[in-house]
Amino acid sequence: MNAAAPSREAPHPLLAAWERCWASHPAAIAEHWSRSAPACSFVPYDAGSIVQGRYDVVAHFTRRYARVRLVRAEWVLRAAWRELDVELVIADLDLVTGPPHAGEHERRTMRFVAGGERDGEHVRLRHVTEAMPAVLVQTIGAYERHAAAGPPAAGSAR
Amino acid sequence: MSADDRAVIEHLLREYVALSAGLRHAEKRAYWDPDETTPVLAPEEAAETLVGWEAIERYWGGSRETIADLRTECFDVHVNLLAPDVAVALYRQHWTATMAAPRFLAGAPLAATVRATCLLRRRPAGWRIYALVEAHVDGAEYFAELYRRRAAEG
Repeated sequence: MNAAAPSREAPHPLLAAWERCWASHPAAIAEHWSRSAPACSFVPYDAGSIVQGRYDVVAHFTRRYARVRLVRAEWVLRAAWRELDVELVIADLDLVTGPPHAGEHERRTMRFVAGGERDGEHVRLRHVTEAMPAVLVQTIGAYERHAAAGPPAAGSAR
Repeated sequence: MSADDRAVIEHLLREYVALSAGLRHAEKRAYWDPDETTPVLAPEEAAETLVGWEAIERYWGGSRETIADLRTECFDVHVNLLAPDVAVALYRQHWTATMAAPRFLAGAPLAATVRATCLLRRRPAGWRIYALVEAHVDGAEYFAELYRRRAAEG
């Protein structure tokens, strides 16, 4: 599968399910994860852990929502597989987040892996990885974007 | 998933990761599903997600020019079965490398620990990889952790 243009509409049900995990109530998050609680796993971008089990996965999303909100996600689908009732997808994700109330947005680019199961009309997540590149790559990318933007305006701190 | 499957996958991953020593990339290919038409590799240091054998082989070939020595080990392996013949394996891998052009990075060994997400399917010859993604944390969290660790060291 070749890369397509970035899309703000999640081009796969698993990606849409992840977008709906940016919610305040644990039950609203858990609804998008497998009924098989021990089988759920999560590699988040904002902690160095490997989270195992639906309870801990939901707790991570709940803590995240208290700190930061999803503003916009842009996707480039890189590969997708369907094997019986199992769906798997890999995408590039451009993620824009913001604080719960007024404040400045943050933008990150990462690789995204999701696996899940078909449950009737629904797809439930079994695994998500939000993969940031190496910190050195993140830093070089920042310098490149800074160069592309040109010198800052007088009085700017950036 | 049987305990056997879990043990087989963990053993396979340890063998695969160990092939980093000596940059034995040609041998790595045997651990991947030969019938997969869209293999995906996303190394932590690559700017782009590598899709397809041509991109993956080009990356493996290029790393020989930039890395003089590389040792990698994996630990903390979790294997989750998505279907009887499909698994996602999560693990941490710690690498130590010396760059081929030491003037750029002082010639001292570099090291990091990165989380890996590996998709595998069962083939007649055994479990085979069809996607592998390495995951770092956000830069802000990385540096916060470094500062916490330094404080804990006293």
